[in-house]
Amino acid sequence: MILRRLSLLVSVVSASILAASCSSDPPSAAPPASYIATAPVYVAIGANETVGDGSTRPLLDSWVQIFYRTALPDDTVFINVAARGATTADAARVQVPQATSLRPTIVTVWLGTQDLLKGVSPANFESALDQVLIGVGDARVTKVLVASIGDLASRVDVVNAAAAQFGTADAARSAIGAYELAIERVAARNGAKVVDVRASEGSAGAAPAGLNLDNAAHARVAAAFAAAAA
Amino acid sequence: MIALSYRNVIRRPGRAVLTVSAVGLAAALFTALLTISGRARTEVLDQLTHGGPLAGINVAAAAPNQIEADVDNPQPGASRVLDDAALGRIAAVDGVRTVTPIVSAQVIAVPGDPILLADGRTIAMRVEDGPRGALFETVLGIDLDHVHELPISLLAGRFPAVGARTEVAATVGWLARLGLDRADAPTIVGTTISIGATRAFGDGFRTRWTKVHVVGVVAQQASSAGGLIESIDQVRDALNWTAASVDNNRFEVPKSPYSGAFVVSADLDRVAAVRNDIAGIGYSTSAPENLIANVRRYLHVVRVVLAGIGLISLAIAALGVSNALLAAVRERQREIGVIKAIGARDRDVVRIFLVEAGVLGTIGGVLGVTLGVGIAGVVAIIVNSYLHSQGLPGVRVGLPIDVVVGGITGAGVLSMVAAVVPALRASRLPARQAVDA
Repeated sequence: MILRRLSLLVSVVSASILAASCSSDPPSAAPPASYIATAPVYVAIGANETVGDGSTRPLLDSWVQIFYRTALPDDTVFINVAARGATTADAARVQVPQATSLRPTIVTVWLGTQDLLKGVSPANFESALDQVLIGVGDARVTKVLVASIGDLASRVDVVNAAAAQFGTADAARSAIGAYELAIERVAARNGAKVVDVRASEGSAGAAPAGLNLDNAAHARVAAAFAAAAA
Repeated sequence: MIALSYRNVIRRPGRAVLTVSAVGLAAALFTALLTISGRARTEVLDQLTHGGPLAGINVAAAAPNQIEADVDNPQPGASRVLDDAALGRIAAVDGVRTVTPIVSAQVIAVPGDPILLADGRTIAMRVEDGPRGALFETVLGIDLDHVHELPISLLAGRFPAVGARTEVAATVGWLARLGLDRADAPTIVGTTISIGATRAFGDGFRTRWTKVHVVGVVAQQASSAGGLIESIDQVRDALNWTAASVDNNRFEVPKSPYSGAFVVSADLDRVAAVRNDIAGIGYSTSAPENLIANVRRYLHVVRVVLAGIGLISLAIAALGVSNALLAAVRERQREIGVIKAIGARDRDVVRIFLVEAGVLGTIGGVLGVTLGVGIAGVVAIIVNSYLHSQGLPGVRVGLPIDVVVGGITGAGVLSMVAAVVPALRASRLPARQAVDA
């Protein structure tokens, strides 16, 4: 029967697909959008947290997947362009062209942690974030949600890792505060909505790799984005 | 005339009841046998064709295997591109009624964890199935306008609606992957699945996700691994996403725009010729034509035998009618003589007996056909309870109009034929002799 014979190439492809589905390697080209028709399109821009790091099963338990499954209309198409280790400048250079080519209707942006861990100055962070939000601004976009820097100052591991870049723990905490203000300013300039993610609680320290949110923290972040999107 | 016949029937109610019962039982047997055999024939052929048309032909995106050209299900040859131009050539083949293209894509399916079933149960994803909460799956895309021409049948729910982009039909393979069996089919209707198509470009990968609701479960598998069925547009979008991969050696992207097609021939007798022509165009085909032809022959024999049994019972009933009327002639000789003495002609006497037999036969036919349909319904309930216990779809026993009409008119006509001899005998009685009897 044809129904059985139609799937002969499954096995070869399968392993590659699963391995690939969560890969964080930065892509080098933007996908064509000709087949993204009139359906709502959600694109997630971000770094390790948005890839789903820390969740048991990223395709099921990561905050972007929960947000997509529970908060967005059924006919929404979702593409996660986040990349592990991406700073805001990386995202502006690589993820934003991908996102804009997909002509999204809703965009979430969660950046800053990697900038902090890599010692990016608040001024450069603000400039890069501006590029990101200006880049995703499109006639079709109806909603841009930007994650706040949240309560990173209370994360000892993050502060210590940032201190290595900024000189002292106080300087790191000061940078975190400056990042927060930068996010609010950029969001206000570009008509985006800030989402207070407060992600530290329940997350397992693994800086400098990222926040490594556990499943409960991913669920809380998803709920925060869902409330903001409502 | 009818009033006279009616009076005669009323005068001897016991004999009338026995005559009607004989005809009725014979008609009931005849109706039940033909109804059941007719339904059985339809069900057997439906099983062979998976609910699709008898003259259906599967076309694979592969070259034909010349060695097995006459085999129902030959091993296809090398892969070959099946595109719109090829489908156009196939559609132009003499004897082809419809061509329905099929596409398939390899996707990631995330059914959620736990999966909440319609009956309130929850099932957890098995770790070995998907350590990341996902399953690898084959999705078949079909033109939902032509879904009823395809060799698939429903176990529960319905097919995705035409134009719907958030609906999917699961298969028994999908049930098995969730650790469920056929009897659980209704419980997964309403569950949600995220379906992801992955593409590679450069060193990176991106997955395009869509959300779909399971609206039905089909009794066949879409692939050896399981399978989901959705609209051809949805699957094309997934394929296009994957096919846009750049510098990619890790994905095997299908070269053919269509994975196959389902062709319906104008009739079963032309299937072989159509398959030959499609092979001439360059594509491998399969169709259960030889199997269907053999099964039809066997089923025809069974139907003839069952109809024969029914006819024999009707003939026995006719003998009963004839016997009852012969007895009536003997008993009513005086009455016949009086009727003739007051001016009735021979043919009037014949008519009286024929009408009486016709009325008794028709009443018996109506009662018998009703009883027969009821018997067939009871048999269907018993069979369905067994089929459902095995997780198989039940059979439906409809009201076969041809059998109903044939049963009633046949009983009436047969009774009248059986009454010919007694009626003639009665008509030939001399009036004087009849009065003296």
